[in-house]
Amino acid sequence: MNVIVEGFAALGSVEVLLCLLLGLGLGLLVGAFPGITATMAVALASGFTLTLDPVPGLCVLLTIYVAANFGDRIPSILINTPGTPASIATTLDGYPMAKQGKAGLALTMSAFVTAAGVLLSMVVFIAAAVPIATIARDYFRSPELFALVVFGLTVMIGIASKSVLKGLIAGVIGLLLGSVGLYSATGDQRFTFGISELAGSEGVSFLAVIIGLFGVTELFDQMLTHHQQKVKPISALGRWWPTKREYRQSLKPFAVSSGVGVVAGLVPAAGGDIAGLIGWDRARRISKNPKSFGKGNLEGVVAADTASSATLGGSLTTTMALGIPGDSVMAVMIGSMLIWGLNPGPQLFTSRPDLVVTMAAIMVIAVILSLAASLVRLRGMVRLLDTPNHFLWPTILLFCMLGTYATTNSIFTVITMLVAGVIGVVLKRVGIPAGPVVLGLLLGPIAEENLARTLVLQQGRGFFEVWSPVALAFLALAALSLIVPMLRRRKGGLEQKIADELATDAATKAVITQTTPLQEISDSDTEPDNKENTP
Amino acid sequence: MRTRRWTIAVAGAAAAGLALAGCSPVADEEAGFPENDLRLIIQADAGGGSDLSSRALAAELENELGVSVIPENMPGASGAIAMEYVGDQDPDGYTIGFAPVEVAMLNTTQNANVLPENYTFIGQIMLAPGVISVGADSPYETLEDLIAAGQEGSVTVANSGAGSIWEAAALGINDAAGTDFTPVAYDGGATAVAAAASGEADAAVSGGGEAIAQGDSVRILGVMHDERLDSLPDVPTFQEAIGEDIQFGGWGGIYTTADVPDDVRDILETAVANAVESDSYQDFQENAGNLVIYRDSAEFTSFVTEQFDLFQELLG
Amino acid sequence: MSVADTDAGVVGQDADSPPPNKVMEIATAVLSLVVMVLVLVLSTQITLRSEASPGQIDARFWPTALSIAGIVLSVAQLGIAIGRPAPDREDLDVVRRAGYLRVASTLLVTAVFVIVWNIGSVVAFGFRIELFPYAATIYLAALIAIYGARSWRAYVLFPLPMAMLAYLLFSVVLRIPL
Repeated sequence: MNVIVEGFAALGSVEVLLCLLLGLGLGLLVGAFPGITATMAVALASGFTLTLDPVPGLCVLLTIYVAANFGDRIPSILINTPGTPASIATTLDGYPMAKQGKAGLALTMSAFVTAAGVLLSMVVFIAAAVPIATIARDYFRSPELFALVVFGLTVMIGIASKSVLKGLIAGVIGLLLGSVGLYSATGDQRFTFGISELAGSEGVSFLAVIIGLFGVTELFDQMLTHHQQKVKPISALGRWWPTKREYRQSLKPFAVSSGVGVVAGLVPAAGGDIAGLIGWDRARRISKNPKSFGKGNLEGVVAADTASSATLGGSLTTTMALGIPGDSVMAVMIGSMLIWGLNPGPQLFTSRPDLVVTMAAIMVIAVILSLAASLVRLRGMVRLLDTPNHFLWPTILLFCMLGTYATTNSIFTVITMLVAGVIGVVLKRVGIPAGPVVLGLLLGPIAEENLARTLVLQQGRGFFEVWSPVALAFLALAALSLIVPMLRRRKGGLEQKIADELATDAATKAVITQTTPLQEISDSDTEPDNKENTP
Repeated sequence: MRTRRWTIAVAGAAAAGLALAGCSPVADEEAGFPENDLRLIIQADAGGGSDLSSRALAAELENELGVSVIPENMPGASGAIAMEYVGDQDPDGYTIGFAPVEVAMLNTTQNANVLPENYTFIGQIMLAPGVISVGADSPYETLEDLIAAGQEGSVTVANSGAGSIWEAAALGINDAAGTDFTPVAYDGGATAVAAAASGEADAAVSGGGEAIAQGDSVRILGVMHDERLDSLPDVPTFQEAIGEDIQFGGWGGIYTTADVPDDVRDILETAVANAVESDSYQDFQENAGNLVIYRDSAEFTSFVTEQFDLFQELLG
Repeated sequence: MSVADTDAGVVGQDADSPPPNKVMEIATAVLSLVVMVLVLVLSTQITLRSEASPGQIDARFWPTALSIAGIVLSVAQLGIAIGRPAPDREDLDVVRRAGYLRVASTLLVTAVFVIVWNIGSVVAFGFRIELFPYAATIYLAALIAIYGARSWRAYVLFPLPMAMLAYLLFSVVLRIPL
């Protein structure tokens, strides 16, 4: 009891309040600028916070961490550019919603579920950080990680809404892009063609590719298709507040995605980006209306944002309880804590329990502040999009370039981003989706690395000694995710609704739309927004 | 009307600001060094061990030199990009950098144009001595047990990445003690130690700080240094335990382009020597679980060359 | 890349989406096949520092396996593109003829800007002058002109503060060397 009082008492000062506000402002700002990630902001701020005491310092860093997780949803929804990788999945349904004039609703709901996701995941941290993190470490080893990532790759099928085959081709392109650079197991160079910028373990810059494929591609596509008569729907925000029905609809995706997020957060190699995509796909599979995912379904936004936000508590748990960075922001946090003489790891919980309580309290306060700030400021942010195109386009382009430059301080990264943008437009025009490319690039290196490691460990051991039931279960799930939709499609009849999501070509599709006109109706009835516009 | 006047005023101010922005006087060759701000190139991302060591030193260097020392992160290719960049600068001493142990390895491991003769080494500033650890429920109680097991059959040893100093250390043990340690590359030092803690790998080689942070879940068996560590008084060195003098460490120092004028090098050398002595720098390294080992320019240069040859033999 | 050109033919029609395009589908599949074969060839030529021992994977394994998968998928896609009617493209808007000009000139201006930015700074009149703020201002103004604004205010009043803001935020606040 005493510990809890002490933990909270440490936060009762003006300095702490100022630090919270500073972190809040910085976090929301960097989140909203594509390219500048929370990692970068925390790293830069750590130069300043090391002059502070631990508690105010942690206030700045943790609040940036939380607030950036709110801010990055805004460009995802409004300009199809993820503010940070964590909001990649938000673009899938968020941007289509904005194009339909429902940006206000998407933004509000996104802020709510982000807050709820973080708070829920903090329960893990508060309840039993050390035991849970130890279980996660002991049961998620290389074979399990490989299996988990293979399972994650099946999300490709879901993102490729129109043609599974094109989606898989896109996925292979992404996986191949991920193999560029240093092969982590042996240090061999692959596909670098003597370019030293490609020779690192990251190879092709992930941030540059997502900003290029999502943001700049959308920008170029708008430039290609823009003409005077067309109305510009985004600034028509629609209503802001979700209806009761929408809240109820969101419950199921929220429940599923928060589970995905918490688990992914506890796994060191998986962060908000992967969790968001898996959460989105899980929610799609259980939805009554899977076909409308990726076309502006509110449930999609709920699922993506819940899952990626629910990783925060898990990441914090892994970091503080084991000293293993749960994500890249936490890697920087560990550095700062070392400067203060605090060693994250199991002994932190026994030697400084008050500090652990303080950190949990900071996280909760940061969530509340960020939610309030997001709701207040959303309207202003959206109004920026009323700027005429001839001002908006150059500004977005310049800031996308600056944001990617800031990740490595190298022009090469900017060129990568622009090339990704041009390729992205071509892919978009020929109907190859960008989502699987990004998914492959994100997961490919993790899959390969863990497979290589597993095979090294396999030497001289029995098969089942290395491949645990957890790993085999994930592999089985991955196989099921592939096979079940195919079988259902074969069966036809009642299952045609599911077959529809897998329709590989127009022929199949035409048949289905003819035979199930009901589908069309259920698609359009999700949105009775004509008279509910809030003033 | 008012809005228009306001926007014009803003634009005017911006134009004036723009005209002044980014203009700085060019260094005068005749005046004493340093006249302008220095750039400190860091070969890794912000927030990592190299970055924090460099930033802690940069703050002290500013006091010594009386100009700003601006840390600049240039990650990529395991640091090769930053090192090749530093090698290509004008030899005026205004671009210095943090050189981790990889400066002696990258030519061998990645064929990068990173050779000792491309640089002027100013001084070593830190050392993270290597330790070998096993999981808490591992059958190996002592270093002798582990080495004996390695001599009989294959033992998996986790490290922070392919081409890292800790992979080289595992190979170095094989070389000296005739063991069959199989290095397994992980993503970072903490992850590697965690792999030993969970029993996934038989052992892990890492910096001392990373192993200590795991607390009771690992048992640290040996230190690859010439004496025991203050933070691990009960853990023997390799010399004590198995009679082989095996020393590996993640060292780091400050370097700049080759052929800088001697007087410039001397000024930088003194500044680094004094900065290393400062309390704040010493505290930082202690908190991070590292040792502050200083070598002056001449010693550091011969040390790097020595290490370069060693790694060429081990990893080539 | 010429596949997208055929879109332009629709300008002036009522349809907001481009029509299904069988030629483009086939061209896409062929291009993807060519790329995958190329990658397969390159994969087998990756230089290895050491061969993998039995049961292990080396640096070639992953890209080789992936490019073979890519070839299989591309062939399947080619079959579908030839054998079945082309899919609808209702999710896309029609490309306008002015659009090509817009994107091409944007890329050109951007390339020039990136080159100037990469120079960094020049020494003149005894001062080292950072080029970025000036280049960014001119770049923004040029793009604004390309996108159709026609007033001195659009060319000056918007780009100047915006370039200044970018410079202040990145170079001064974040200390990123532009």
